[in-house]
Amino acid sequence: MVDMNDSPAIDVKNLQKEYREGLISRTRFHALRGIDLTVRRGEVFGLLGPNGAGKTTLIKILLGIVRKTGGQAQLLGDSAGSRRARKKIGYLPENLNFPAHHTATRALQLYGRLSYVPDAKIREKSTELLDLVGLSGREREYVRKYSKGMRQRLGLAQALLHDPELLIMDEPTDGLDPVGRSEIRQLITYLRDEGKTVFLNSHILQEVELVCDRVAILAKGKLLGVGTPKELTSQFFAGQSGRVRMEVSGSVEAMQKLQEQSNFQSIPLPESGLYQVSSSADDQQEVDKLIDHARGLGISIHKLERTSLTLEEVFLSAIQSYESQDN
Amino acid sequence: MKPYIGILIDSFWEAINNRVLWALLICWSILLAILAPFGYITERSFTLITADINNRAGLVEKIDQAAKGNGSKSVQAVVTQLDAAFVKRVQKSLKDDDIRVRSSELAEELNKALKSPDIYTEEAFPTAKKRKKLQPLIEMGPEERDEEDNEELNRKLMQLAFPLELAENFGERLSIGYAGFSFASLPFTRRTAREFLEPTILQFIVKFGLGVIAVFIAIIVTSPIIPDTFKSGSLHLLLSKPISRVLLYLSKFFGGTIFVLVNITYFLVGLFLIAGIRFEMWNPGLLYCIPLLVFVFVIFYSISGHIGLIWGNAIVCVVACMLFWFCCFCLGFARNNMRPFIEIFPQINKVAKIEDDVTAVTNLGEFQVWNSDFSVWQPAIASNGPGSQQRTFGPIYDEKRKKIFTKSFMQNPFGGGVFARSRAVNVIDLNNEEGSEPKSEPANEKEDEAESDSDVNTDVETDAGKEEGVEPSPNQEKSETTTSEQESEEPEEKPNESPAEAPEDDLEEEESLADQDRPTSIFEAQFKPHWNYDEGPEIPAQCFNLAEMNGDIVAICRSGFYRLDMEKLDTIEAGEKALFGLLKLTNLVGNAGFEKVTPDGFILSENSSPSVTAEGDAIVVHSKEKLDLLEYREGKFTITKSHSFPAEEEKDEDPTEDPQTVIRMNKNFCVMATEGQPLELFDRDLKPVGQIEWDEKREIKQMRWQPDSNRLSIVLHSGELLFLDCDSQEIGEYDLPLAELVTCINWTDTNTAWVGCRPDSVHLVDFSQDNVLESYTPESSIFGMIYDWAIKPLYTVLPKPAALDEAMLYLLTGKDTQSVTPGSGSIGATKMELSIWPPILSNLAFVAFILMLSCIHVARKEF
Repeated sequence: MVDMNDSPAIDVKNLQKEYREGLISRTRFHALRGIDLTVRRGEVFGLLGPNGAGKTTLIKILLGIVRKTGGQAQLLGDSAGSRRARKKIGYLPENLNFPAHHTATRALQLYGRLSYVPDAKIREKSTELLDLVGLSGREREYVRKYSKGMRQRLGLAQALLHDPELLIMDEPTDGLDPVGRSEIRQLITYLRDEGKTVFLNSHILQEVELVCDRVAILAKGKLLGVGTPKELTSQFFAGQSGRVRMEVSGSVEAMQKLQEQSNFQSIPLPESGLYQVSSSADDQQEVDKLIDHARGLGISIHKLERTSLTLEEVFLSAIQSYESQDN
Repeated sequence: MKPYIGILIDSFWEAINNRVLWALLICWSILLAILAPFGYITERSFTLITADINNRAGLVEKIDQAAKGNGSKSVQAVVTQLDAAFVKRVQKSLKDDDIRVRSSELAEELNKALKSPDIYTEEAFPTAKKRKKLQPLIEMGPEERDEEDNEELNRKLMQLAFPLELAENFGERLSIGYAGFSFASLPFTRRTAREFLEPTILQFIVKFGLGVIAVFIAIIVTSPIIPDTFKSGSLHLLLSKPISRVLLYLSKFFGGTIFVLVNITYFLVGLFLIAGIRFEMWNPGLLYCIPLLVFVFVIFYSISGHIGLIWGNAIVCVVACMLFWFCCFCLGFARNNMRPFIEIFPQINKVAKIEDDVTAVTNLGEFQVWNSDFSVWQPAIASNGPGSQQRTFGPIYDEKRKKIFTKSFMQNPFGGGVFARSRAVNVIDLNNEEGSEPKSEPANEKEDEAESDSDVNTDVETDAGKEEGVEPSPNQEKSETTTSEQESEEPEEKPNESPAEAPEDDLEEEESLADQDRPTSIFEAQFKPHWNYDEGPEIPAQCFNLAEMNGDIVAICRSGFYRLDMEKLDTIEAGEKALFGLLKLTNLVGNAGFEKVTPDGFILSENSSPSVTAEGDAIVVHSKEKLDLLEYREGKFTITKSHSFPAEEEKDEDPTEDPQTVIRMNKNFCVMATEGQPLELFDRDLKPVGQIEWDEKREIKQMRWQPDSNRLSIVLHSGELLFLDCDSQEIGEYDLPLAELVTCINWTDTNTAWVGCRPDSVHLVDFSQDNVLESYTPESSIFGMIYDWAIKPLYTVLPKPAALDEAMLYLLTGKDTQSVTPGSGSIGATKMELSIWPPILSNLAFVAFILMLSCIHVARKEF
């Protein structure tokens, strides 16, 4: 017998979704093409992908808003979309709209009742959550007067009202200012510390990189990779994880030779007459070699820094390599 | 259910936060505040108003006679108090056509006399002292009586002097007032107001104020609810909750009705309180209308919601609702306007065979003959006005003389009475009927008559109405010519020229044309009169009915019973023919044809119900206080039996408020049916023999004795045919070999009867053999076919929100039938069965169907 507490928060196997459009011609569109994904309990999981990759479709299937055409999807041991599964999850949708007549209190009352939370508990938790999301004292104002950030925070409060085991957040920082983003990040970290599983769908890669334990990259309905950012880097950059970036000056011929004879990529910097050049370099030996080569060509080095690969670079590399294979 | 209740509660808050709701509530409050000061004002008053002059011609005649020193002393006592110049003018008006004395003038002059302290003398009013109400006033003496006492005494004395000419006064005057100020005296009783006016006004307010305006505002206001809910921003969050999509939609849908519920409840509770406090009309029906009106909204909202789901646009929802309403309105309009003419008015009320012709009288009062050439009902004679509501007396067939006597009066559409251009009875001479041309009654005359319902042969019933303005025919003797103050209401052109005006030379030619006049097409047969008629003697004023008794024709009127002197009629007719070879009865006969045959002083009250016995040998009369049997022997009526009902405390109240009664008697039993009460049985000596429980909802239309038995057949307005076995005092149902609903019955012998069935067929049924001997079912007209094959099926299948009006009327009146002639005061008056449940059920089915489609859509759609 399987202990439900041992089951993953999200377990997706060979998940497929095909949309059909048009009354007569019935054009088919494959939104998901056999996805395999497991999100462990207690982790913050990020889902990355360009527009049209199938991220929203995946979330909709998990929530039961659309039906899958193939494969399996389970949430916390229950079939995805089932009422049992939905009872255990909190959802913060993208572009959340509250009805015009709602105040924060009334909104929490409605969504709490929809999640079978007793009225007394709604009252008790409302105060606590509004305090947590920073809306204390503004609970009797109409939501229509709230800023977007306040609405997002209220959305997060409603998602947490019934104390869900899994929180699915769709673009939670979209349209927020840096302070708002930072607050949301802090909340996510707090939730992880509380033992909640967070499934995050976001375009902002830096954020995902900052808060997510693991990340999945999705493109054109296919899962390109799953793992920690480091794991993904090694997957898409063949073990290379370091880079060296320099600001240099020199003759045009020397710059051309540098580009031809090594794997430097150069970008001219405006007005300064300098070039920014970068290349992969995992250890000191490789860095020294690159410097020697540049100096040998008579190039002056004005600035040098060593960096590791960003998630954005990994993501772009993954997408580019998938598209080149696909073509 | 908690989440869904949560949605409903949220919808309530949504409604409360809607500014349109508050704007509407303010509008309703203003409307209620405007309506609140309206109310009835009952004033203690003994003065006369124009409407109190029941019989102006009779009053003028009596004043004239009294001025000459003739007539009763009571009349003389009143006339001596009138202004001498006015009395002279009254007398002159009888001789000079140019002088007119209006009812208003008569009322004004009589009001002046009301203040006189000298009307009463013991000699003039010998019975006055015996009356409970008058005794203390008389005993006070003129010195002690104040002005009001004097007016009360004099008004009651005037009533004794002019019992038929003046309407009874009950010391109260009903008027409509506003904020305590009376501004319009009501010419009708509270009963009429209660039965007709109040439900009509209430229905108007409820139907148009709420059923149309409020519902459509609500549709506009609520139309965005579903599209807004099902758009992505809020929908995905709702769908992520552990609730059912279908129940989410239904909760949102019914939550949308809260807006309407709040509005309607507020207004109707306000209206209920105003109607109760101001008009003493605590009508719970108003409150029952709340769910009905919400249901009307739900019908439209189901469309709006479904369109909102598919299109997601509020404007499209409103446009779709408007289109839906327009389609329903067109269909409902066509059906409601065609139905009375196809299903209700043609229903047969009376049926009999005259010689070889099957004749019938319809609900509309049209006297018809079966035309076997085209299988249609053909008008028997030219009617007062085709398509208009009529009350037809007779037809009575005199086999010996081969003459049919009948008379149709126009029905006042607002109730209260009937009228015609002439009160001359129509005589159809079957020996010689082809000799005269079809004609209508003379124009420019109007009579108001007591309305009634009658059998083809004998039975009569109902209450007396009121004569509003009497004018004799221009063909009548000059001395009887008076003027009518209501002349402006009546003039109508004669459709055909009267024989009196036709050149005599033309008649021979017309005789030869008679055969050619037979209808040549079905259309002609439906409209062309079958018989010609002539005008006979005038029916006395305030007539209840014409009846045949032992071969005589008797007019049953408020002032007594009148026998038509047939021998005199024969003599005049013979003489007339010998002299001129023409039929011109009217000029020679006039009123002289009807001779009073009841004891002196015998008059019927307005609410009497007279009925000829099954054997045609007596008339039984019911009034509030008693039951009288007047036997008809040797051309005279004598009261032979009486039964007094337990005395009630004498009350000054309008007798027309009493429930309507119909009474039937045969040689053994007398059955009395009173609205809302058990059937009462009496024996021939008018001694009570029992009571039979009767369901108030079973509204009686007709009662007929089954010949040579003690079985009384009862036709209900609902179309059922029952019988009352007076011996066993049990009610049973006839085993009728017909599937149709019954509209009338006329027994020809113990086991055979003519049965009228809906809509307009007639069958001769042998009840002993369960066999239909003859059938007369007319061909459908083009309109009938359109109605039967297009309008009716479509109307049955499609939703009909407007048809809920009938259910609303039922809730407001508590009756499942609606009188076509409101205020007629007759049990048998044409009633239209209200269609209460079919529209509710069909609309429910429609709403269920649309909701089901919406639910399937919601359940299957991938948002």
